[in-house]
Amino acid sequence: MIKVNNISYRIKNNDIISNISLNIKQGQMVSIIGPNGAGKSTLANIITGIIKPDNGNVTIYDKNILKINKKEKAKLISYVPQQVNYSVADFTVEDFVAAGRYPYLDYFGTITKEHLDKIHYYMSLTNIYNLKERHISTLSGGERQKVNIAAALAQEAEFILLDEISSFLDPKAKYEINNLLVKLNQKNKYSIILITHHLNYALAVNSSFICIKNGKLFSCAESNEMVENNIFSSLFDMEFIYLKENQRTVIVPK
Amino acid sequence: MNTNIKIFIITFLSILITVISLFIGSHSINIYNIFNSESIDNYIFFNTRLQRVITGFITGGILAVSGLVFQSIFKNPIATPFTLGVAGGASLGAAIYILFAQSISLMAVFGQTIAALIGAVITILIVYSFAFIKGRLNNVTLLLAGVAVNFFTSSLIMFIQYFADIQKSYNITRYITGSLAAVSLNNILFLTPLSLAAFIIIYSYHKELDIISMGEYIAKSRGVNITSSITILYFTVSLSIAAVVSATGPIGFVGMIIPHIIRMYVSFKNKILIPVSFIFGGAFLVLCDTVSRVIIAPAELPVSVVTSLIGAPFFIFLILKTNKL
Repeated sequence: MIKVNNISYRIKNNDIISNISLNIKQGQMVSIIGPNGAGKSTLANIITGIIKPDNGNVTIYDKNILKINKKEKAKLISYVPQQVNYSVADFTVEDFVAAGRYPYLDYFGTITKEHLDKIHYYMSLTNIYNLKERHISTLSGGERQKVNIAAALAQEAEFILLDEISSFLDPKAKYEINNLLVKLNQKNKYSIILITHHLNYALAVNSSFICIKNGKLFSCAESNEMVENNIFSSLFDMEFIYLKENQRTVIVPK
Repeated sequence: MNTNIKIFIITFLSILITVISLFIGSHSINIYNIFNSESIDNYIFFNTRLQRVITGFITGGILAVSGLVFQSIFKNPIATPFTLGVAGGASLGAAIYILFAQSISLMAVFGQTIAALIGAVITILIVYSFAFIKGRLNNVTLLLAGVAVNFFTSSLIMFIQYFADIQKSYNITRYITGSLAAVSLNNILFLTPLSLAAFIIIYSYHKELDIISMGEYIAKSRGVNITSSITILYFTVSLSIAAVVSATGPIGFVGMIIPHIIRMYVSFKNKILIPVSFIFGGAFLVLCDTVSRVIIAPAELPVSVVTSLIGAPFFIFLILKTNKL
């Protein structure tokens, strides 16, 4: 379980995050949503221990995330960034995913048969095994995002945080990634934290919601509560229409 | 083509270039005479040629690997070993020494090397101390601080040159235009163990370099200790560049293009990239030095002129051919 205890973060006297506390349980699928500049990415970076809050702390399995050995932390939580920089890192897909094994490698970085099996397993799970020999620069945006996810999975951490990964994807790629995340959450029991602007996407995977507004915790709710209580409208200060079909709810601006 | 075959071809070519270069110069050496202690070939081979080729190889190797490390750390394809101002600091140290040195003697050459080394080390420490924000190493700031310090030292050198007399100003220009002409056995004794140590340290970070080059957040997520990795790599690379540059002056282009050529043709993995860049960088500089010795023989050009003259068009050709950096 990840516990965020009363964290605050300031940049030049501007409060980016103020006094946020929340819990993320094992097996949860949770979306962090909120308007632009609300502090979602900062919160994500604090949760993953990438940046240090000015006050408060984050614990993962009751250990302060900033005090755990870096490789041990990598075995507990992994992170999928929006994009990959490949200007001097145009690795093959296999090499890129292999880097996810870093926290488990010995001093010489030997990729053993066991590592290679896992690397191939996660490539198959994300449907990119056929891209094995391709270089990152030759892939489409959707393929790149799957590679990115596969590398994070190879880290074998129970918690995975994905930052706006669907931003550059077409509807089909989005749908595939969507299904992949649901499968990882329900079948493979990963705990998934999404940072997203795509409300329908978050609704479709039936996640819980953590709503952030002006650096403060606005509300925590399940999908159905978000819809029934119209929390989206007060969060974004605008009116929405909810369209229902076959248990699915789609939200559009009024 | 299989990566191992490519590695083999590049290594073979590099060794071939290096060995052939031993026999070519303003005085060509006949291989049958080199063990005849009476012959002039023997004298030239063991007293100048061999030393020069070895120094050239080590220098080229260090420049290539250093450029590679800086490109990976800063995720910047045009980073070079001199981007962070090490060469500027060394040149400033040498310029100050030349300005105040009374005579040009053998001692003066030694003094100039020491002055360059001190200049480089001071620059390295200043740039590094600027790179901490809120107690945390910021590699964008490291890059910017290096570039700024580089401009600053360049202006100071121009300032010194402007006020120095013609002879001293010429000597400063000679230093700034890197060359292997003044190398001696001392340089080899100094550079060999140092480059070996630097190579081992850098190679031991090949996994970290792979991941750091993918981006800061990925590196942090994977559990790479970025601050300690970058600190160790920064000092290892900068100090070895300081040692090389203090002996030869700044030699451009090798550090930037060699890593790209190896990435394009062999591999992006640092496990392969580091050793192959070292070998190919070494051979490339030896080749350029041979050209510089031969092209206007019996006089010679500074090697840095040749590295850029060969390197720049070749690099443009490669970019056009592969259409990517």
